[in-house]
Amino acid sequence: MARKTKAGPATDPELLILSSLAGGSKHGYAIMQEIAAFAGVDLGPGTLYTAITRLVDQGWIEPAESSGRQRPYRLTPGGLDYLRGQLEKMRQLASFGLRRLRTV
Amino acid sequence: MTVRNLLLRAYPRRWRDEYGEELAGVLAQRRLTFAVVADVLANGMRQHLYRDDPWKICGTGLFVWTSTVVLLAAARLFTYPSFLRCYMAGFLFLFAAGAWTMLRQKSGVWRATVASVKAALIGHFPDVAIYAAMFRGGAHSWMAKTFAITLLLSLLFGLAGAVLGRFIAGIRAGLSAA
Repeated sequence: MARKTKAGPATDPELLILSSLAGGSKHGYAIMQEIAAFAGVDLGPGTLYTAITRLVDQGWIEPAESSGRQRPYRLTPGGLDYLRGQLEKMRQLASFGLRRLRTV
Repeated sequence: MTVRNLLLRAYPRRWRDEYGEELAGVLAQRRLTFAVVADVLANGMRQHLYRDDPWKICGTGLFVWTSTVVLLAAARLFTYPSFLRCYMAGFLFLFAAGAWTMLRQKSGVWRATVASVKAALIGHFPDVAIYAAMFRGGAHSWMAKTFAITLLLSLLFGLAGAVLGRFIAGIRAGLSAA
């Protein structure tokens, strides 16, 4: 189950990381930079690696082969399914909320 | 040792072996602001909570609690009844160690109880050391009795915690099956 975040699901570190990795494998710093660019969220290094640890433990991402100091991560098929499911729920919620707002 | 290396020490060794080098790499590319330091320290604590054995965490908590209570009593900031109440409240750490071990490791009641006794051995080190220093010249039988009572109480609180842990685990299993 996803952790609740104070600022809403769009700032959940795990969803942000999964969304970033949906575009291909990346290492920690590249993930952080991309999240800052597409979501405007400045993830702290500690928060980033706590989320990466949880995602690896849950089997939603895995380390990819690398010879460098920074290990890249990639989505697993389970992670892809989870991300798709979460984004679909967010889309349903957003469209429901927006429909309701039109009647206000 | 640099500040960045010191920050990594906030994390459990097992975690550092797996992710330490990567986090060091990311930290090397970031300016060390107050927010970054706080973020790394807070998440280091979280990793300890996720990964360390519950008895180590509860034992450390009890160690800090007991040290504080003993120091305040030594400074005569406590009356004896207040000291005793605070000292006894420390046994709640052992209750928590039993319950938490049971819930996290899904071990048997006896193993969870033993875990809380291990927490007691860490946590009660300050008062045992102080008693030993105070009664260097004698009163060994009084000291032995106090130590035995402390261990017995640790066992009882740990057992009670473990039983509660088993009860909660049963409820959780029932809810997830339903």
